[in-house]
Amino acid sequence: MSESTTATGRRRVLLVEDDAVIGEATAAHLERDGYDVVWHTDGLEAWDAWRCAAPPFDLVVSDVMLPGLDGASLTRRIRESDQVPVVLVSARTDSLDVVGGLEAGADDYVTKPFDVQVLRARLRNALRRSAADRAPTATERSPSSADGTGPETFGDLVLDRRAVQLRRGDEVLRLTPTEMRLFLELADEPGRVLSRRALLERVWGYGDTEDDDHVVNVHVQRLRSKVGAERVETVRGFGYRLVR
Amino acid sequence: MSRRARGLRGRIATAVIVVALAAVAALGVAVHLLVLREQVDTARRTAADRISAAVDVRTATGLLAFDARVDDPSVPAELRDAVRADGARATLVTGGSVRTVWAAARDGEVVLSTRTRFVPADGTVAQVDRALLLAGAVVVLVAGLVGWVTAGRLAQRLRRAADTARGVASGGDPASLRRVVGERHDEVGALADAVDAMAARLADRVRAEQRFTAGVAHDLRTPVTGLLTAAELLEPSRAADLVRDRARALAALVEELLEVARLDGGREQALAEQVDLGEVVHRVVRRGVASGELPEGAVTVRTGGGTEVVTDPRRVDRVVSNLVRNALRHGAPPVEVVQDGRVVEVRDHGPGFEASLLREGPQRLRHSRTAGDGNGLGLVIATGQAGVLGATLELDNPAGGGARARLRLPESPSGGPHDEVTAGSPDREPTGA
Repeated sequence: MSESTTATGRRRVLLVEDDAVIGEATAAHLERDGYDVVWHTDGLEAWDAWRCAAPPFDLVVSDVMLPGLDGASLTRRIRESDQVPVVLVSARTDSLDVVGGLEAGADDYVTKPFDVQVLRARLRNALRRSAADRAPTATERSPSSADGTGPETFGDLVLDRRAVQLRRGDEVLRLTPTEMRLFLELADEPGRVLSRRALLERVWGYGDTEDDDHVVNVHVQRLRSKVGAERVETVRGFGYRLVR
Repeated sequence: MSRRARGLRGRIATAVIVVALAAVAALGVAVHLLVLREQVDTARRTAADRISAAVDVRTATGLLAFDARVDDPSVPAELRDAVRADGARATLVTGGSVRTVWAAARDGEVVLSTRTRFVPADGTVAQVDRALLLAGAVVVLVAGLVGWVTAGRLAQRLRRAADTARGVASGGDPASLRRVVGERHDEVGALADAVDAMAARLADRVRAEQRFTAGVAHDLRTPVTGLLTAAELLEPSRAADLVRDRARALAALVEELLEVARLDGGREQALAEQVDLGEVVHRVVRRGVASGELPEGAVTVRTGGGTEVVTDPRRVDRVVSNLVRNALRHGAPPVEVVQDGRVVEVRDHGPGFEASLLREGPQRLRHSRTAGDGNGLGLVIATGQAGVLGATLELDNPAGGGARARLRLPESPSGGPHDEVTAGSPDREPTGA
């Protein structure tokens, strides 16, 4: 069921989709876009493929409803050891599926029936966040406050922008690239309220016309659970802000 | 709708009073007659005794006693015939309001007779009549009162049941009629149970159909996604364009069906946040133009500028985009979208809304005169989403032609806050969104 091409320099994508047509067509699209795609139809098989992958995958695209192991559980298992970007594909917008997947650690999601262009954009954005996280300098970001300054402190947290690290004492907090990007956006101007829309555009790269209910909320909750609930404030009806 | 049913109480009380009156009257007449007959009988007995005594006296002494007369010519012939035999006696009562009591007896060759008069409606009868009248009046009054109160209770229970049923019918909370009419096991209770059972059954049916619609639409999602994704792989050609276009239309229809099913489910909640309403409206049109759905220049937007409202922008987006699409499909350009304060108006220059639509409101999947691309769900969705927002959606055909839809957002949104945690005070600093 799987096909794998290992050419150098190509991003490796683990695609988990149990519908034959969607799987095959999505794999074809991603290959056209220059990804190496490994496609599995079963969650448990996908988990095995993930564990044994060498070199590791750069991106996981997974359906939520899957035989063997569902998308949220697969994401949770992956998150125990890795911060690779995970984008979920859900057949339900309104259910707990999406929220559950995001809470498990997914970075973003698209809903069926999805527009291939939208899926491409989401994957590109997820990879970009991940790349920015690994690079010692944030590539496309140049906030004035970050230039040439030393570590910033937010309560008991220390942000080192050069290393893209957030520490509490000696402990380096394990944030996913998306959580880190969210923290950095909020940290650019502490105390300033950023609306859900603004965060969607800046962190997730959503276009002017795209909108979403869950991504920002769940990520803020995830971030709170790692940096402390009091650090990120909700200003009801307006958005979120970071508290020093 | 608010025509209150009245009259059951009056009718029942009247019936009770009429029946009581009839009973009292019949009883009164019967008693009156009985008393009268008793009086007449007494008079007859007295007269018979007297004529017997008079005959005895005449036989013994030859004298007339007790005002008896011999061969009185005014004795009715009837009576005289009755006493033709020797020693025979008889009495006769004649007259109406004043009765004459005749008594006659034959004594040898002569007929002795007495005549007395009495007025039947004398003190006794009048007294009895008065007592009857008084008792009758009291009985009728009490019966009427009891009838009025009982009927009032019945009418009140029925009225409450009717009010509740009307509330349920007009889409209010499903309420039990049984709870409203009380616990009693009578006909009203039976009616309430029956209506409750019917309502529950209908609700079950509706729910089942909603589930079915949602299920069908949901099951369609996977194959439609496959179709859409595979169609995007086709090499550019006219045929590929056609397939892609239809696949997108199919996907859109499936999404709309799911949206209608969600709105029908009634569990949709608005997630309110502070937004610039004008910007939301602009974004709808920008997106429509960018996706190619709205022809460029066909839609003009005019906004009141800087109107910050607390609402759910995604739902406002759904309402406005559906109104604009509907205006382009069934109306004619130019379509004008005007935002002023909390009101968003979408107006086209086509033939206007159909009379049936204005009369009955938007109906799902009803195809109108222009079949076109419309599936008839757009206005249903717009109305449903407006409802979730606590807003009103007014449809009319203004003077000057065309169709006009006006979305009026409420002062305070009906939805809950956007997030569960609240801290700090609202910061009115622009967010740069």
